[in-house]
Amino acid sequence: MEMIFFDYIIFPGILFTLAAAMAVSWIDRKVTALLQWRVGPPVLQPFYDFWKLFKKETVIPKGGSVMVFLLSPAVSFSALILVSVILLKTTLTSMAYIGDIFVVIYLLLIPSIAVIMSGAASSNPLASLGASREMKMVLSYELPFILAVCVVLIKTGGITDLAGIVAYQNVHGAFIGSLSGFLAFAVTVVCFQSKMAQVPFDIPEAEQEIMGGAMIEYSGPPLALFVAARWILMALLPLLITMLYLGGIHSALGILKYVGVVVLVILIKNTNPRLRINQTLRFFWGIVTGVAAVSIILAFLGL
Amino acid sequence: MNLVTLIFTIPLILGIAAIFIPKFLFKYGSVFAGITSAALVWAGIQAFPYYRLEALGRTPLLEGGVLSLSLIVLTGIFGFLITLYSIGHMEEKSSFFWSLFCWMLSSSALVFVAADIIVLMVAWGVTGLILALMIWQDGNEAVGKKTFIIVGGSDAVLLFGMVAMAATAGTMQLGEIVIKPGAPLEWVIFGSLIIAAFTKAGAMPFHTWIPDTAKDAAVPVVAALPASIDKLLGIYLLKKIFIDWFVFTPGKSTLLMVIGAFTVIAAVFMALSQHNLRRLLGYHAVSQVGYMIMGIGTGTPIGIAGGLLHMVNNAIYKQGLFLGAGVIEKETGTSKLEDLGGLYKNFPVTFLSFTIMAMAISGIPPLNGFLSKWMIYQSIVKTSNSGGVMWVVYLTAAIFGSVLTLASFVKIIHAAFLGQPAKGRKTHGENISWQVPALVILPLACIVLGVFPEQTVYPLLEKVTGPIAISGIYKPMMAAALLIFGAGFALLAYVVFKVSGYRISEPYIGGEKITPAMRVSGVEFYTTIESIRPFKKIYNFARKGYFDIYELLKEFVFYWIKLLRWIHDGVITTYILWVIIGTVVLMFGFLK
Repeated sequence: MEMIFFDYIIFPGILFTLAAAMAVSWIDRKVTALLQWRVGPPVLQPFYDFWKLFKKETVIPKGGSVMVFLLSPAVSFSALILVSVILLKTTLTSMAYIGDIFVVIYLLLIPSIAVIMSGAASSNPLASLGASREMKMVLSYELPFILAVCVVLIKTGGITDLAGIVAYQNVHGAFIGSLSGFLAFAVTVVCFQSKMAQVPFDIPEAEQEIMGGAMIEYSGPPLALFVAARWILMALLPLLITMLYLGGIHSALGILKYVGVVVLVILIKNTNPRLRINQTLRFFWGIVTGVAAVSIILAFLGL
Repeated sequence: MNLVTLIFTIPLILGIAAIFIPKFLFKYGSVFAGITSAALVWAGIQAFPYYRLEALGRTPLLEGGVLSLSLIVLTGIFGFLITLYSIGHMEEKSSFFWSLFCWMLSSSALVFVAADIIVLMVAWGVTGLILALMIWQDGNEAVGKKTFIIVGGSDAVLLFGMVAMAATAGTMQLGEIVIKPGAPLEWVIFGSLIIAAFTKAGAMPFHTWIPDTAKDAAVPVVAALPASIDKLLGIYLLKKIFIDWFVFTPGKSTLLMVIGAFTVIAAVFMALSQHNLRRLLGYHAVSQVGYMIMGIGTGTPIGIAGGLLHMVNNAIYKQGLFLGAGVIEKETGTSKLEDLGGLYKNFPVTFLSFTIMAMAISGIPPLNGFLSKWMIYQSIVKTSNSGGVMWVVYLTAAIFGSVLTLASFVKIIHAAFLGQPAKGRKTHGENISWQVPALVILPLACIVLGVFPEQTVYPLLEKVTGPIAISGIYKPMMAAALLIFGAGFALLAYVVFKVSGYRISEPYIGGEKITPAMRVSGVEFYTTIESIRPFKKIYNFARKGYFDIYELLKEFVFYWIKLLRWIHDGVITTYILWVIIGTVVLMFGFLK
């Protein structure tokens, strides 16, 4: 029992996850800065930002539900830490822990629900628009993402636990090496780009249009938790991609692959303009789902 | 007391007695329904230690194992909660309602324990008739008629199927029936029986009575029948047909899986576009049936267990959601989503209860909806071992359907509870007393069944399906503990950093003043989806009733009626003309 809570609070849970997420956030800002010919922030900048927010005053919008407004960031944070523990414990012990891929898919829905609930509880029309956009984004990317996960299930012959999926790749080679695996990888990267609400899919926040969307009313510690959740998501989703298609992060090469995926996400973010929500829906339910369907057919053909 | 007394004689007598209760004592009639519910629970509990109904005395017409016992107990519990709810919810009306309620519980219980085709048929037919009568009692004639025609029509098909099955199997005893592959009329019998099961449970394309009933019938009636007990009846029969009476074949499995997958997706897309809270819930009462059918359709122990568990889960949260919607409608006088908003403040109990159950139906871990869906996903993935390719379609439909479910519940939560109140919405609070048990117990059941399956549902399911052999990994207790712990940790940070000293300020939209015209109600959340191709066309067709089997049937019947009217125009010369034509035809016949 003590072990479970050590895992959860210190390693690989809250503390480690936060530190890793801050590191990824720093890589994001540094690479972005380099792309824009700037120097970029020091390594500890994410920590300073996080700490600063915790010391700021909390302001709550009039007319909104205080309970939902404050609880949403906590729930989002909690779900992401659980996903982090599942992914990292699975990697460290090579054994399934708490849940399989379906559990992870559903747990990863909770941060989106939290954003939507917080937007709904903000009593602000822009926050409501942000909530509506967030939900439509989830609808957009989930369909091709599920299909891409099916490619993995086809290749492993129905192994749903993550440790099994990684182990299978260690024996038979990473899935990205096959044509269907590569297409599924590409689909998942695009889906996760929007799951992280990164450009070109930062539609739910779209600062220039709806001023942060669901985040517009947030300040102080609740905002800090949401920001942390965003960073954790940015650290976890590339990890999940690495586990699903690149054979996990067991070795130095594995860690390099992980960093490669992170950098890929940052590059996509820095080289694309934002789409509109209807374009996004059409894009995901059209081209991306089409590519995912092709990858499924190829996977059944053994390619 | 023996079984027949508990589930038949007592309800029958109480139902007859309830007729004589005067209108002004309507609420006291609930005692009769309460006793009937208690009798069912008592019957189930008494027999439970033996896992067989026969522990309460043998009768040739009734039998039942763990599944039947569980369903009787559940029917009793649901009956009890809805009875309590009705006391607080319903205005004075004819006490015949309580008679129907007692008989409804009894006839449903009889379906679960019927050992003989005739008992099953009679009890099954009575449940359908009672539903129509309950709807008619509130003056909803059109909806009552539609329900009666669809459900009654399916009963006729069932009767045909049962007679053919008895002739083929050579027995009327349900426990002895086995229809082997290749038996004469195998598919006709199978088709007839599943049409009845699908209609009762509400699978597509026989679902169209559910959204209408959900919108217009009295809330306790909707919560009792289409939302919960009808699901138990339909899926119980489906399980009997697919697992007990027929031998598993890939063809039958594919038929069920395709209908299940289609039901999940098509119904949830319809739900997304609804503006009426109860009609929206009605479409979910259809959509969720798809999961149950898919689970049972896999034919694997974990799939059947998942399907049956989803049936129970759905009965719990769908009933609770309708009862929550009933509280809102009673107090605000409307169930139109655009006329609600901001109810969280005045309806705290309903809000919390509704939100938990909305998350449960959307399959959010660690609630019960996720557990049963997860079991169904495992079973679908398992079917990949047999070499097919369709499992990808089923799995995608199932998971994507669950995301769409979440989307429509997010819409309700925003439009009814959290968003800004509509102009002119009544603001007085929730006036609940007798409604509280249902609004508390049902969401609690969602949590308990989801978090503690090993202590609650798994042992029972294994008694029904044999060892479940769970292949995937899911530890709900640990997941729940860590989720709560993590949220607690975050809240502790709130305490340390003194979030409780928060300041309240006006919402900010860049310095502009927020006007009522800027209100985002939430009903328009998914107009983007409704306006893209091909959804625009599909939604249009749906609104015109092209997918409604009742409307299509009506068109067909009216077409022929029009023709007959043309023939029978009441003019004597026309009739003389027909007589002459008829005579000529006959003469030709004879001359030949």
